[in-house]
Amino acid sequence: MKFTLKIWRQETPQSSGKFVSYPIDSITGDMSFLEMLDMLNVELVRKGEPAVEFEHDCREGICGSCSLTINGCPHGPDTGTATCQLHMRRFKDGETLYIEPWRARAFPVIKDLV
Amino acid sequence: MDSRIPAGDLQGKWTRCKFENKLVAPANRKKFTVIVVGSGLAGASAAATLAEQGYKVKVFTYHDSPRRAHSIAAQGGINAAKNYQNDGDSVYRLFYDTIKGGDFRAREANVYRLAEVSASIIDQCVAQGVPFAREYGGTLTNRSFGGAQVSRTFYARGQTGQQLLLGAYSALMRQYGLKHLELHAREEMLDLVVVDGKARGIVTRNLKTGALQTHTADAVVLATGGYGNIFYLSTNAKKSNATAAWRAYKRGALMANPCFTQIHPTCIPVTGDHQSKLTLMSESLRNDGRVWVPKAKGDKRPPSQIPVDERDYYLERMYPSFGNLAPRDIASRAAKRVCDEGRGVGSSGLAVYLDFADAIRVQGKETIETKYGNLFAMYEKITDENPYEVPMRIYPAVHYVMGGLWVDYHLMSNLPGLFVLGEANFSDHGANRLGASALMQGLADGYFVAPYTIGNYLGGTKLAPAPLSHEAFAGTLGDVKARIALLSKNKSGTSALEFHRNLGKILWEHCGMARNDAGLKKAIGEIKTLREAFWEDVFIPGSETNMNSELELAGRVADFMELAELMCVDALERKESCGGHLREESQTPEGEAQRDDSKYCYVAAWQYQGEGQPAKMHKENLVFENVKLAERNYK
Amino acid sequence: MSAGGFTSVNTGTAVDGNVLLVGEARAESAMDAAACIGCGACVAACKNASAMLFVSAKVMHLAQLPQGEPERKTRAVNMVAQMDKEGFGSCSNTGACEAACPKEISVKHIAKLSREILKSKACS
Repeated sequence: MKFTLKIWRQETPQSSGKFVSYPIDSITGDMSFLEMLDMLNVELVRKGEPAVEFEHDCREGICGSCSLTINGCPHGPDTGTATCQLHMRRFKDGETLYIEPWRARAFPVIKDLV
Repeated sequence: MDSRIPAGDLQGKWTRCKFENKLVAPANRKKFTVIVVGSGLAGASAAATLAEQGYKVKVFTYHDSPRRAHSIAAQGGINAAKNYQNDGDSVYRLFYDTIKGGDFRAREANVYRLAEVSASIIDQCVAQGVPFAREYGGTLTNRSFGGAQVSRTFYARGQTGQQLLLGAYSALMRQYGLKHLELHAREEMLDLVVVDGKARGIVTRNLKTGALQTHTADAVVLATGGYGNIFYLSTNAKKSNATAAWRAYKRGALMANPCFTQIHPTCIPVTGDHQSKLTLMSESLRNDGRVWVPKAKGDKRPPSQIPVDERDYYLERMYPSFGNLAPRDIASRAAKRVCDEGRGVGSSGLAVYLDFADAIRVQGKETIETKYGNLFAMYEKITDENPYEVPMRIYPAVHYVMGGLWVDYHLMSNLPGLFVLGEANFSDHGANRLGASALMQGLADGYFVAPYTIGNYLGGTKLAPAPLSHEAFAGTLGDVKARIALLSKNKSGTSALEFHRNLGKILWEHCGMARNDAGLKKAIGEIKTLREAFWEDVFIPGSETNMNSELELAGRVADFMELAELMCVDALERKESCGGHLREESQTPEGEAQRDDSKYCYVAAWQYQGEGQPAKMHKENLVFENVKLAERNYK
Repeated sequence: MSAGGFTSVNTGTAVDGNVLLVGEARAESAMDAAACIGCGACVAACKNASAMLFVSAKVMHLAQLPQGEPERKTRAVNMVAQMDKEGFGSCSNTGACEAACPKEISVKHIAKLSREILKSKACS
């Protein structure tokens, strides 16, 4: 599967952020959403570009660390599912995905998606 | 190396130890500062209790909140010798089961104390409001876990770790609100400061700003969890790491039995190279799920079309008295054996069925849903298969490490003032941990053991002032800076993640479920080569003075690279099999672990000897005065 | 959490776990509220950035258990006050939080929290 990712990049809490577009290829349906971001980061590092910061830890939906707003929905489109439990089979091949941090005054952005 | 086990009969040791402990008067406690690194069950419970007692406590976690610690992911339950089910449980039985479950490679005195305080843990957690499962009459209910023939496991659905951690976290936050403790979130310990041979502080990095800081204290508690993540694929959280423990090792603390790894039998199988972690399906599922594979090799029919008489319920066949609740090491090995025979299922052939059809038929779908609903939902999200209709596919995966920093009966390392709690120490589980005993140990250490023994240390030790201006702090800070500079030197290259993945493959192949002389030697060579490649090629984009998870990961992987070698050296040296450590050269005719008590009835505690030097092994002989060393039999 | 998401009980002072009887249905209902993972999705989904679902889940977890009873009134009031202080908004009952919640925590806890606050103010 192929996707176009529009990811919120913001260097520091003070700086202003923007969406940056990243095409990504050879994604399989049984990859989790965060594994897709891992793959993007490995590619970015290889190209010498800064990796995308995102919060995660347990990857089984219990620690409450992961925090992405995907296409406008916190934790993405599925009900009762944290971002780390979301799998790519849920999306259509070729789709554009908007990925943002939580937006709330009480949760200031530290960097990128954190 | 003095294990400081109190003299006298087993039952009286802990009482005697508490009585003989030096005390610090309530008014004097505020003069002492204790640093607690890690905020999981062991760290949070110790920090809260020490603060309640009146000590000045500083808690450090690399998470944004103490509640994220990986204890939260524990599913099945917590053991305690309450005998609420009136089925013959007792402190002595829990002690015996734990010693036997650990294949006679743990200290009797420590394990007995663990069993002794287990009942108080449940009381404490109930008082905090932990919503344990209840009977209709309002009393606490239990379920069974592997390696036991009584029901002594307390649980809160499949989220017991979460509820216990939230209990400990609430106790911690209460002390924080009362201004009895300082909380340092998003601050990672990168080194231990040793002054005059005693642990007196730490160096941390603020993960938001990159700032390096030094902190001084009278005692340092490491409750930093286990290093199972060294295998890259494990059930551990992605950030779990060995850095705090490894830094302490390199400052002189002994590392004990590093090769003792627990491979959990029921995890969701690997689907491909992209995979970043493995998800556990709680052992509690084996209360009702039946494990089987086809009798015939290469039988690729869907499970529903394989008639019952062509199925091999191999755990029930091989271990009739414990059946599907055989201990973890034994169940894992059995799964590996049937898959090696070519009878594994699924596309990779590296899986066995865990089937609930019979349980659903007898108990009804609703009952099964109440017991395991969240686990079934989790399974379906990951695999896209409905376990109410088709059997789960499971395979063993790295879950826990019994090895860890060496501690004495007081949970103090050989470095005075350094206390190590929970999974980070080696003390209670021997060569294999029984299910639902990790939560018990974390909370026992934190609530009921360390607060007494740390008081004894502070009350009975002459501590000279160790101000931050002491040269040891500047020296250690300099070492940390140099290390970060070394990690950041490459201007292009590869992400630490790829090195981590490759390290995991080497360890899983040669130091995983089965180990042998040639494989371990090969692994040591491969790890050295990989470590060289890592330092030459690891690339960290971004800045050191900002949030940078690539830098965090690279530091952790660098430590894993060194620890991996020590694990293999330890595994190579221990030529017997015991618990989760199976040396292929030492098996019974049925393929079970064959211990050699005449040669290996000891704890191997390794001491760092300097860069590039082989570590030196010290032996702590294990003395069994109460239980008879016997072959572990679950048939 | 430090504003009251706890029961004030020091280590070692607890009575036997079976002294406090909790009916099965009540324990399950408390567990429904206690399942919150504190991820913040409810806040992110809310047009007011309110943390009422999070706060109500913690308050209602403890309010349903005998252990939570002694501090029941102050807990509800103090935790909501702390939420306001930290810059979270107020609840306007849109239900967006429940829809986003990965643990499907019900908005009924918010209604119950409001009741807890009303009761504690009326009786104080």
